[in-house]
Amino acid sequence: MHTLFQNNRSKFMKNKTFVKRILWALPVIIIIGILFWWKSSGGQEQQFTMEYYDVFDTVTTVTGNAETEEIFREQAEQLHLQLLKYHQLFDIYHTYEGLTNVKNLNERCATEAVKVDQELLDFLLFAKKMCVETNNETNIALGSVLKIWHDYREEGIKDEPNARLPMQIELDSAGLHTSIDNLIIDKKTGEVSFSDSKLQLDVGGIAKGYSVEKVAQYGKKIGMTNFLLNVGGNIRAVGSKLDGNPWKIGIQNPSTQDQSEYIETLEIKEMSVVTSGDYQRYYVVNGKKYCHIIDPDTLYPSNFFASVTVVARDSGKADTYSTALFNMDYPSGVKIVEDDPELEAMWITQNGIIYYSSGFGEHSEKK
Amino acid sequence: MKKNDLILMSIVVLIGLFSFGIVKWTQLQSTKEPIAQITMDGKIIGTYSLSENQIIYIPSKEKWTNQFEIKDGVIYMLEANCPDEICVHHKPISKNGETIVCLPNKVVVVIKNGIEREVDGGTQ
Repeated sequence: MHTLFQNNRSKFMKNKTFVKRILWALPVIIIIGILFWWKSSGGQEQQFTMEYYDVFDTVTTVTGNAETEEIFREQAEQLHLQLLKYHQLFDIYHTYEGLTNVKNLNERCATEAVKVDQELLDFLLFAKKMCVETNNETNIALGSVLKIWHDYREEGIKDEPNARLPMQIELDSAGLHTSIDNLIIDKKTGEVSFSDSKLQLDVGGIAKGYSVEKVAQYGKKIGMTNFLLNVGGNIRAVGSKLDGNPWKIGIQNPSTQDQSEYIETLEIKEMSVVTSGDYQRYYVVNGKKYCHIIDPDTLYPSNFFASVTVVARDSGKADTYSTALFNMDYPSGVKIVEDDPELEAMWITQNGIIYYSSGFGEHSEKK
Repeated sequence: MKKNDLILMSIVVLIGLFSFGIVKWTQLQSTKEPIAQITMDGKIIGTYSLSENQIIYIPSKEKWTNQFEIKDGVIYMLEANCPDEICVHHKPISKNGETIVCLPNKVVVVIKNGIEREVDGGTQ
């Protein structure tokens, strides 16, 4: 009787431990399940990309992390709206109701002083400073010359066999009206005027980079800590990727024969990369390529390089200097870059020879 | 080590293997052959396999606006009637997420299901 009871009891105990063990195993199973789910979904935050086609006549992508696509879409849209604002402000082909932009200035500044808002005033001051700093190699007052090339280029692309170059006399007479000193900015009253009635502004060389920097700063202000803003290859990285690694940026290979898209890969955090190249916007006259970047010294398309890439924290500065370096020979350019601790650069000649500034390698992909 | 412990452990291991299998299986399901999706003004014109050589015309009132060519696993813009022809100057693409855009005509081609591109962004 006694033993029977004991046996029963021990059987019961065994069953109880079995139940206990199952209970103990459940959390383990659940944790394993969660781990697998986590691995397959990439953690709580995921990386998303949004694309826009309506700013600065190019493709804009915003890449960043958020818990859901909804949240990211909202954040990216805020950056998009900011970009639209700058796009309209710097537009030289269209006017917008209730906004005084660069086209308005080109139409009115010859005859009157035009009041502009702080945003445009700040930009014009920056542009003027950059023009002096780069020894006129990025000059927003080059508008009347750029307009001539723009028109000949569009005609030449439409009707390639009859593509023509502008007449030298056309260029020379327009070139007389390109002095940045004739852009008069009154900081106190916020008024802008031209002391040369034929002066025309074209901000294409630096406005995109300037806007990208402003918008990146805006993104930080609204709480975005890690994102990549790419406006037509004008790249600004804020923070790092989801896994803490730097952003990987490909430098466009200027060779059209070579199929590989990138010639060099950079790894950057909190940095801008901008390339100026002759391979995207150009036209062909009698078998020779004429690119869209005009050298202020010759009033002809630059042909020192196939591309120049600048790495700098400030995207406005990177854009300015990629244009400026594209317009000068390597010895002049490398001197500027080596003297400025904020700038690194990579030059690719039309024969495919690559020059690097001394600190450029620090941004290259570590292999 | 009790018999029950062994049973439990094997259950745990089996569940682990099973979920691993499911994850792998769903991954395999999503890696189909690479395709090019072409849109115009946000509307899908069509999706085309990159393994089928062909020329794709984007129709318009005046015959066509853009011509794509798919050849040996890549797609590129053969011709376009836009004023800058930046899209024609673009290199052929084949990797996931790569795009060629003809902004004036609002024509976009994007690669899906291709191999992953090795960068987060590229200069132009």
